[in-house]
Amino acid sequence: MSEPAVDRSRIRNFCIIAHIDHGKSTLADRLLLHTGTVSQRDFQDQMLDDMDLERERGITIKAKAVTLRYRRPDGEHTLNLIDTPGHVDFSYEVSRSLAACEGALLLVDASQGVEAQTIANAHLALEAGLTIVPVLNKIDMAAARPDEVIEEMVHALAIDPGRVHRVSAKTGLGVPELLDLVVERIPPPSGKEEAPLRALIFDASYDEYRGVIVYIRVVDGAIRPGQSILTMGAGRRYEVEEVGIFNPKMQKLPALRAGDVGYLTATIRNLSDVSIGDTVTDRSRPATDKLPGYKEPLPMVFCGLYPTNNTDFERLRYALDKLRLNDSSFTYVPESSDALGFGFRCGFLGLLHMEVVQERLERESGVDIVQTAPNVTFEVLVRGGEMIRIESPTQLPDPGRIELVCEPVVRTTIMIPAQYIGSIMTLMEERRARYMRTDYLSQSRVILVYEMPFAELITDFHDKLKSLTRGYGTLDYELVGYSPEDLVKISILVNGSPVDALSFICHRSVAEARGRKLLKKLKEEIPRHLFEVPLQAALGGKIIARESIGALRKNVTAKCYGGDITRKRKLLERQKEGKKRMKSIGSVEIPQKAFLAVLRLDEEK
Amino acid sequence: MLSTMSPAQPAPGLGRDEVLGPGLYVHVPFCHSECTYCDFYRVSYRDRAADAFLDGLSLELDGLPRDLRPRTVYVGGGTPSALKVDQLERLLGLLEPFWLPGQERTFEVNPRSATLPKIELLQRAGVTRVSFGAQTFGASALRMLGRRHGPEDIGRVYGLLRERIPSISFDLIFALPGRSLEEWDFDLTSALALRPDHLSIYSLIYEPGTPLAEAVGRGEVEPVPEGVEREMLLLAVSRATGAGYEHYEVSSYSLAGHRSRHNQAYWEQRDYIGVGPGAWTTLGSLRTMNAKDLDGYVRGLRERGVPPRLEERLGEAERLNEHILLRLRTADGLSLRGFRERAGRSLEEHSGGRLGQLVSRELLAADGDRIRLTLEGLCVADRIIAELMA
Repeated sequence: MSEPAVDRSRIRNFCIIAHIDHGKSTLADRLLLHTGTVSQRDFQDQMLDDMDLERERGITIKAKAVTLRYRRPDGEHTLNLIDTPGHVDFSYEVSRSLAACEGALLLVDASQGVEAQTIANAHLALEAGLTIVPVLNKIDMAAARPDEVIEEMVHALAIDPGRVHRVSAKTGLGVPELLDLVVERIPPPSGKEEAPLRALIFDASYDEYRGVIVYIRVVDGAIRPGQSILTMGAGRRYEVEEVGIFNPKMQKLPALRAGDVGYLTATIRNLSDVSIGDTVTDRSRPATDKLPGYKEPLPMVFCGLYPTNNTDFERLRYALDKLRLNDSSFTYVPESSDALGFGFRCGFLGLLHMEVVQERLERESGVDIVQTAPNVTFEVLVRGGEMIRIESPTQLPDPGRIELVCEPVVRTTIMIPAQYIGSIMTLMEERRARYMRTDYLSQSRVILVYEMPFAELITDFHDKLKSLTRGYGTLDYELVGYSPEDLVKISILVNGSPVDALSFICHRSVAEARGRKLLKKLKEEIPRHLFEVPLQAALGGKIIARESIGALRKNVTAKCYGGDITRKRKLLERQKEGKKRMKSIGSVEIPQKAFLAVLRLDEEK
Repeated sequence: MLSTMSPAQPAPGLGRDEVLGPGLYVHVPFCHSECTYCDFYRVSYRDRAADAFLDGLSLELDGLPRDLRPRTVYVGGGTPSALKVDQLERLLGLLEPFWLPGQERTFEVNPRSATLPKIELLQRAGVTRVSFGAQTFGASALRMLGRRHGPEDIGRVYGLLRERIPSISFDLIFALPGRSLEEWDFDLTSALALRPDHLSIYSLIYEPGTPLAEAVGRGEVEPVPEGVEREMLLLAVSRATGAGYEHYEVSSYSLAGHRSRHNQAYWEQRDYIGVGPGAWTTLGSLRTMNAKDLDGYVRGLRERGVPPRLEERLGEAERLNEHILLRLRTADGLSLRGFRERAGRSLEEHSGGRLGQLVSRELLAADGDRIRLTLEGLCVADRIIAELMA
């Protein structure tokens, strides 16, 4: 058990930050191959495993932290490559991964150029005090425009153009030199091995056999199997079972020391027991201060999830329980809706996170789910001075009890080709956004910065941005605070009954227009019935818009003889099945799409 | 009472049918021209192919049980009258062993191909009923449908049939693109003036894959608006019933004593045997379809004594859904007691309470034990049936 510890000065901890599709995983794979961490053959086998979703437990080539052994004339170096989530929804997770590193490769696609996410993550890395190694990828591509893109990097991030390294992750061009740059430019870790243990939890995953696998960066001291540990933020105690590194398979080690990156297991049953950003210390010799930056993840976007069939409620609960084992950042509490019955109000870090969770939920549980339109959280000051936080339009108190409603505001960074400035500024005006500034990255590319209500951002904003900029616009946002606004709740009545799951909160100035548009959308989405279905939008007690779905007039096929019966029956059975997937409210069948109609009010038919 | 699976179970009110077996359907897959709306199995008439078909049919009929006593025989298609005189004679000869006294024997006849010698053949063979495919009196509408006859052929051939065949059913199609409500009224009035014994009145259906449906897809043909189609249906009901016809099924109208016994058997879920390519057979819970492939049909019978077939097993759920579908389309309606006996639960329960809603919306009428479509319900019968299915 006494393998000599690696010389601390020969360790480098780094990550790759990039916009989605700029080649992060291709570059990571290339680094693994070049250092011999995986062989060409293993690599292909592993890729196959990936596709089968039958990954051997505990390992994957996409492990969150891989240890590479890199040999150079001055000796072998240990390079720990730490993965970061690319999307803004996970900016807290990104910041924790960055905190485990001393340096970052800032990867930019030589044809796509700098994107909003690139900048957001680069700023996070700079704030975390990381050494940035700028890398231009895909330089072998015909569409590459390296000089322009380097100019963008200089403008947006104040990078020294002479220090940008060019690679092609696909062909391997420039990759050996890049490994040398990692060793030469990024500083070794600086922790004290004699000090009391402090290890940063930067990620965790759940394994059916071992329980929770905790990804740690040891900052000070050392950690060994059998050691009694304490998580300083959450205050939980465990006994360490095993420690090790990912090579890329899990490889057991006698200890992890200051500067090392690896994993620990400790018979932890629930992922929710582990908090990303928390500090692990030794119970018998605890550190005095925990590592900075720890906070509870706070859901920002909420929606209702209901089983289409009310009898599936328990199955849905089971599926949510199970999913949370793997993702502790989403929340769910039971709620009931007059229209939809029993379901759950679920909170997510952002829109992408919501999509990811829902997709997995439906795939893994097989329960048909009705999703209500997402909404943001509001802070409501009620008479008497109490401030309450509401997570659903139905929770909004009676207008008479409300002193003030505040909505979350986000600072939005939008990166677009310059020719679209006009149309994006018009869009931002429609979305109640406040202009902050314009930065020119180059003559052809611009960054616009706005502050806008988060509610406007989650309402079909991203698709709109993409379509107005022919797919070139990118976006990032961060919460700046809550702001009091004249906000009202619009209720929707279908066939005379209010359908709470269709109600929404919006600014008074657009209430009538939105109500009208929503009814038009609902008219498209709700199929005709055997009777006329009136639709109404109400603000307070007042109807502000109405529409009507006409009754079916003729629907009867003529012939039904010996050869027609099977086909006819199957046709009607399919109709019937289709209706079962709709939500029946009163005697009106409402398809899932209708509940999301409020998101697509700007679409023209 | 509707349980009908075996011929040993007599159905009340059907006279001598009680002791007879399933209906026999013969599919003659030939046409001289292709109607643009038709999705039945048919091929262009060719002399040699028709002979080969009759060879195959002869073998298929030989394979039927010796003691088969069909209550009705129905020869449809395609266009049975497309066969040449000698072929038609041969066909009638093949069917003769199944002739029984008092039997309903129907032939589908088309105004273009029904010549006097063919009609006389049918008369001599004791055909009791013809179904006459007139469709419309509009010359341009007939061309659009791909029919080869003109309005003038209708009256002429009808006259020939009237003198020789005891019962005549007249086919009409409405909601034809470009044909107005007034023109439809003209079709109805013209047909009723001939006083056929039976009327089959169909709304045009754009069956997927037919030339007409594809023309709609390309925007070349504009279907009649739903509201107008509804007016046309209601006009047909009022004209026909006003002239003394009983409206006894969604598309079927008859003078007293002239209901189609063959078709009624389908709606009562009785057994039937179909021969010829593309014909369907239902015996209890087994339903088969002869492949829609004339060459394969003939080869199969020559080489193995059976045509290639597709098979469907009907479970109790399917049979119940068909019970709702078929019974509700008839004026006799659905017996609530009969349903409960079959299903082991009431229709109200089976439909999750929708029966009551449909009755209170006056789309269905409850008359003691019987549930029937109202006139309003008739217009949206498909949706109503889907609502009641489990």
